[in-house]
Amino acid sequence: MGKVLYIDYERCIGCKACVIGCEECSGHDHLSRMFVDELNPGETVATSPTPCMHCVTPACAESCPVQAISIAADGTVLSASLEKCIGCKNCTYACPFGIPKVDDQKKVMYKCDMCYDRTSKGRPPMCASVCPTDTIRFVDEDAMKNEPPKPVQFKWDFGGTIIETRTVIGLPDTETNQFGYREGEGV
Amino acid sequence: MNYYPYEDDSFLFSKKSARNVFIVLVVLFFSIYFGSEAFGYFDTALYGYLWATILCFVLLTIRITSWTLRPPTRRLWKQGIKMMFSPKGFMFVVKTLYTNIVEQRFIRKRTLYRWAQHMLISWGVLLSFAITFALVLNWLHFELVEPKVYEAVVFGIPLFRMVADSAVALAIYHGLNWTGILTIIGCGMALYRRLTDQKKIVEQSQEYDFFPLFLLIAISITGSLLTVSAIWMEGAFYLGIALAHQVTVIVFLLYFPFSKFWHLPLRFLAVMVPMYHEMNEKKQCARCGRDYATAMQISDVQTTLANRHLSTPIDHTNLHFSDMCADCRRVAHRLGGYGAKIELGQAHLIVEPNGKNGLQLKKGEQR
Repeated sequence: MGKVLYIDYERCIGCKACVIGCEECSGHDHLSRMFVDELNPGETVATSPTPCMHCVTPACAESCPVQAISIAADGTVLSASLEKCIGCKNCTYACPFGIPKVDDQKKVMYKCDMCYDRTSKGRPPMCASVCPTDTIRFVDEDAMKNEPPKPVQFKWDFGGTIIETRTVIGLPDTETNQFGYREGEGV
Repeated sequence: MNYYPYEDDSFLFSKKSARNVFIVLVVLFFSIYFGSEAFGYFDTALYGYLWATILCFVLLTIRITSWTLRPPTRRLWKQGIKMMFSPKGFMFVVKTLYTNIVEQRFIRKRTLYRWAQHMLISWGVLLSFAITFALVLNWLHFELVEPKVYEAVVFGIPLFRMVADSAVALAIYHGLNWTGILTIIGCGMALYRRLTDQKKIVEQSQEYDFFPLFLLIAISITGSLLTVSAIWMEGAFYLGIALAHQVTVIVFLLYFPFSKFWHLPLRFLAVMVPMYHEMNEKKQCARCGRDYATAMQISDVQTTLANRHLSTPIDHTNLHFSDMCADCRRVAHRLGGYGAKIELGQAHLIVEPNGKNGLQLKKGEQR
């Protein structure tokens, strides 16, 4: 298995470097596909970045009426193909993670493709490259899923529907409240 | 990966394809019969093209049948056709046909260069289709009614007359040359962009993106060479060029339903979309209350996902993740990760993590 994105969102400081980095990726046409959301605006400063989760069976692709969303050989779920996308927005509603965006004028859906131009050549995606706090990392999929350094999410159960994602989310430590690096782990 | 077939009846696709192909073949036969005035004006020089065209229509019908069997496609077509029959819907469709297909405004919003190249290729190809199909299927022919006057006849109905060496006649005889020139210029521009922007268009491939351009150029050049041979070379190499042209066109016709050109039928579904978005009641996000979609589309998407065994409900509620806007879906996941309770203000519910990375109604809350 290859490398995947790992989001340890308790480390996020909301600087939005990932959003800008994403915009600068050469295949992204200056449209950022990264989100940084404020979790409790007005109450806390907690923020979290969200890239595409790269589902194994993507709801976006299954809900697309024109089969515009394809999956690359390495499992990366690509943005809708420009000539096929009809801008219907089904994908934006079907995605349980709220990822795809549609440009109404250009009639095209765009989403994180893990910087396919970079990752297909073994380089990390822009967001992981520019993140100053290591919130977003590009890590070995097997190691992160089988021996995670902390509780992680990559299998989701929505009322019996199991959705497995390639992107891994690191959960905040709400038991011991030890934020940041754990001793000896480096994650 | 979970795999579920689209329909329970595994023969449904075969049955529907057979029925649709039969209908198309009957319609084609009668259109040729009436067009050629009971085979009186049948153009045997285009015999090879005729069979390739019929086969192209059959393959296209099978592909369209398979495409429209997909739950999201079927749903959108049905809703679109239903809405199209209201006066407001009809106006929407006429307007979108103009902006999407005639003017291709959405491509102009991408970049002006791509719009220019696409207008040249698409109109070159569409007009070539119109001329080729009309001649190959014998819908149109010319009759010599006076020593120097031709009459254009469509489906047996005389349309107009023209003097054989007039400017109009010259423009019509060379119709395919003009459309060929448009196509060559457009394909040249597309090739230039694909080569110079290689770093940006990382997903492009030789088979999917370059081959169709070469094919269109080959068709246009061999076709134009026929005119060159006839007018300036006293017919030299005419037979060889004609054969080469026929081979390239037949390859194109058989390749059409399974290639990049397949996006042409797809664009007709795009005509339904603005109407589908505008003519329905808006829906509010269950958490923040903002208008984010139409109620019809959310219900359609939920039905589609249920068909594909991909429903994403919030446990013990009537809600699905798609009842929240994209922003609230992302925030809800993260707050759930913290183990926090999430207030769905608009739906007057409080939800919490279900212990399996999804969400459920907060224990003790009423649905």
